[in-house]
Amino acid sequence: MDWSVLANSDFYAGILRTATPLTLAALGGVMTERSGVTNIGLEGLMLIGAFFGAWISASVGNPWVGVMGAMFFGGLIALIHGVVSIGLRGNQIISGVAINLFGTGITGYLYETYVSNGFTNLPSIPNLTIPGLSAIPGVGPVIGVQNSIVYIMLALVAITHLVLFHTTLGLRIRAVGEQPRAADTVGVNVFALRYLCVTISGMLAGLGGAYLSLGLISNFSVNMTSGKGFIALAAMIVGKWTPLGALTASLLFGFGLQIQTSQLVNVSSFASNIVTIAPYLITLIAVAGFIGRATAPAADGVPYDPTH
Amino acid sequence: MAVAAGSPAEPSSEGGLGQALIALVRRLVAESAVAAITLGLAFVLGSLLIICTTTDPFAVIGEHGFRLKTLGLLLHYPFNAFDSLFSGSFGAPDMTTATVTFGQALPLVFTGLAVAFAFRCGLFNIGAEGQLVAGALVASMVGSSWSGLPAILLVPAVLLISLLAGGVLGAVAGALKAYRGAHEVITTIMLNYIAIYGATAMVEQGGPLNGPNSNGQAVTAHAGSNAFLPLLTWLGKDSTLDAGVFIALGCAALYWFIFARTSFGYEITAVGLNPGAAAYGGIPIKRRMIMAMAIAGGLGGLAGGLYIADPTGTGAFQAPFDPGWGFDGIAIALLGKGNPIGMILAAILFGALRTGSQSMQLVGVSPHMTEVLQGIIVLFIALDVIVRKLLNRRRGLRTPGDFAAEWRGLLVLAVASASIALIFSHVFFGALAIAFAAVFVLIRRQVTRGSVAVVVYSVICLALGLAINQYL
Repeated sequence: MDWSVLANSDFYAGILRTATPLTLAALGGVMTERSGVTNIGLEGLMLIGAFFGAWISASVGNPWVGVMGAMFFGGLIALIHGVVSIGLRGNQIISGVAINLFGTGITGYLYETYVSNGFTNLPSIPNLTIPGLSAIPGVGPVIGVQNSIVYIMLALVAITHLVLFHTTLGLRIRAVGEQPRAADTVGVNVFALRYLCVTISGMLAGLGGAYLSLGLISNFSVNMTSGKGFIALAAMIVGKWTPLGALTASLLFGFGLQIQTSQLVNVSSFASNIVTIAPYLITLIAVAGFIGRATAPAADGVPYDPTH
Repeated sequence: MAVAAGSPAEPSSEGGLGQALIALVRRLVAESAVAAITLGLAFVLGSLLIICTTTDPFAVIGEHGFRLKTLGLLLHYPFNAFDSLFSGSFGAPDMTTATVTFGQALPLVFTGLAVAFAFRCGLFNIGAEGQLVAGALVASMVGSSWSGLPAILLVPAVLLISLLAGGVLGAVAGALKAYRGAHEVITTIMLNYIAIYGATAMVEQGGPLNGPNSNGQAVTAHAGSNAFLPLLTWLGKDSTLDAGVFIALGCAALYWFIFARTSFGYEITAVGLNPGAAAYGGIPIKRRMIMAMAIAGGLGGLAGGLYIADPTGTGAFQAPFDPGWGFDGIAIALLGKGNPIGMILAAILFGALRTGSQSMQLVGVSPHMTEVLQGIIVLFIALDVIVRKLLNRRRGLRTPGDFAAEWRGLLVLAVASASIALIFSHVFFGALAIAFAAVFVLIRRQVTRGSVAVVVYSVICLALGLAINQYL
C-alpha cells in the first residue's frame, strides 16, 4: 500500500463523501432508537430514498425536489414501520425485515417498470464552496468545497446533538426511550414522540439514499445501497447512540470503504477486500463490550402498552 | 408439558386419541386461516400495484364505465401475472417446473429451520445468510481438495464441514449473547457481512482461496463430481432435484423430534419462554443458548453445503454469493409458525415465487414483484397478533384458542379458496370453498349468517371468474 495517500487531501475528501450517507442514516437510527423503537429497516429506507430521489429529480428536473421527495417517501414508509411497531405493537425486528424486503422489491419493481435503462439527464445536487475555508491549502479541498448534502449532513449532526441533549424535547425523547412509563406519568406523550422520531429516521435515511443517487454516484441501480443501511446501523451502535458518535463511526467506516474503492489507493486486491469487513468486525467487538460497552436505550425495541 | 410460545390450544392428552386428533385439525385450520389472510392481503395489495403500474385504471374506467367488462379488463393484468407466476412454478404437465420449484425451496427449508430453531430459544437468527455463505465456501474447499475420495465419503464430508462452518458462526453469536449480552440481531447481521465480504475477499483474484482455473473471476476451485448428491432422475428425465430433499425432510423430522420428544428440546424451549424460570429449574441457560445458535447456524450452513453438492451447479463458490435465502428463511420460519410442516409448505411457496418470477417477466411484470409480495407478507406476519385479534373480535373472544374452538378458520379458508377460484377461474377451488363452508355448518350444526355470506361470496367469485375469463 502506498502510504503517501494519507497526505493527499482528496483522500480525506473522499472519506467525508463516503461517510455522508452512512451518517445521515445513522442519525435516523439514533433518533428512532433513542425514542425506543428499533429500526433495522434503514437499508430499505435508504433504497427508497435513492430511487424516489432520482426518479422525481429526473421527472421534475430539479434535484432539490427529488431530495424532498426522497425524504417524503422515506418518512412515509418509516411511518408504516411506526404504525406496526408503536400503534399496533407488532414485532419491530420482523417489521424492519419487511421494510428491507419491501424497499428492495418496490424500488426494483418501479425501476424496471418505468425506467429500466438508467436515468438520463439526472440533475446533480450542486457543490458548495465556503469562501475563505476553501482557500486554505490542505483543508480547503476536504471541507471547503463539497456537495451541499455534505454540509447539510454536518449541520444535521449538530442539530440532532443539540436537540437530543440540550432541549426539553430531546430530554423527553430520551425519557421515552429509557422509561416510557415514567415519561407517560409526567404527561409526556409517548406515542406521539415515537411516531415523530420514527418518521424522522425514515426522512434522514431517505436523504442519505438521495445523496447516493443524486450526489455520490449520480445514478440509480437496483439494490445500489448494497448494505450501507446496515453499516449505518453499525455506526449508530459503535457511536453509542449519539449523533457525534455516529459521525465519528461513519468517518471510520468511510475510511475503510475508501481504502477499498479509492483510485488513489493502490493496494493489493486481497488486502483491500479484507478491509471491507472491518466496520462489521469493529461493531461486533463493540457490542460485545470489548472496546467500551455499547448499551442501547433501556426501552429500545419494547412496545409501550399503557394499559399494562 | 411444553406449550410453544403463542400457539393456540395444544392437544390435551386426557381426551384420548380422537380428541387429540380433533384438536390437531382445529389448530391446523386456525393456523392455515391466519396464513391465508396474510397471503391473501399480500396478493390483494400486489394486484393493486400491478393494476396501477401496468395500466391507467382511471382511463380504463373512463372508457368503459362501471361494467363487468371494465373489472375484467383491470383484473386481467394481475390475474395474468399470478397465473404465469404459478404456471411457471408448477404448471408443466410433467414434473419439470415443479422440480425446479422444489429445488429452489430446498435451501429455504434449511434457512427456515435455522431461524426457527434459534427462535425456540428466544433468539432471533438473522444470520442464516452468512451461515450459508460460510458453509458453501468451506464445502467447495473440501469438495475440490479431497476430490479423490469416493462419493460415499466425500458427500458427507462436504455436508458435515458446511454444517460445522455455519455452526461456528452461529455459536459465536450465541456465545456473545450468553456471556457478553450482545444482542443477537446485531451480531448476526454483522456476521452476515463478515462472512459475505470475507468470503469474497478470499476467493477474489489474489485471495488465498482463488481457484487455479479462475481466469480472473472471483471463484474457488471446482469440486469434483464425487462431491455431488445424486439427481432424482425417477421424477422425470429433466429433473433438477437432488437427494438433498431427503436431507431436508430428515432435518425437519429431527427438528420435530427434538422439540416434541427430547428433554434437550424441552430445555431450549424453556429458556426461550422464560430464561429466569429455566435457570431456576436447573437448566444451564448460557450453554443452551450457545447450542441452540450453533445448531441453528449448522442448519444454515447446510443450505450452503447443499448448494455446492448440487449436481446441476458448478461445485464452486463464486463471489459475490448472496442469494437472499437467509432472509427468506426469516419469513418462512414466521409464516410456518415454527412448525416443520408449516415451514416446508412456506418454503415451497417461496420457492414457487422465486421460480415463477421469471415467467411473470414474460407477461411484462418485473420479477421484483415477488420481493414486494414477500415484504408485504412479512409485514403482516409482524402483525400476526392483530390478525388473530381481528378474527376473535366479533364474538368478543379473548384468546387465539377461542378462535380455533369456534372453527371460524374454515370460513376464512372458504373465502381464500373462492378468491383463488376467481383468479384462476377454476371450478375446483370454487367447490372447495363451498365444501369448507359446508363442513363449518356441519360442525356447528347451525347455519350462521357468516356461513351464508361465505357461500354467496364463493358463488359470486366463481361466476365472476368464469365471466371475466371471457375478456382475457
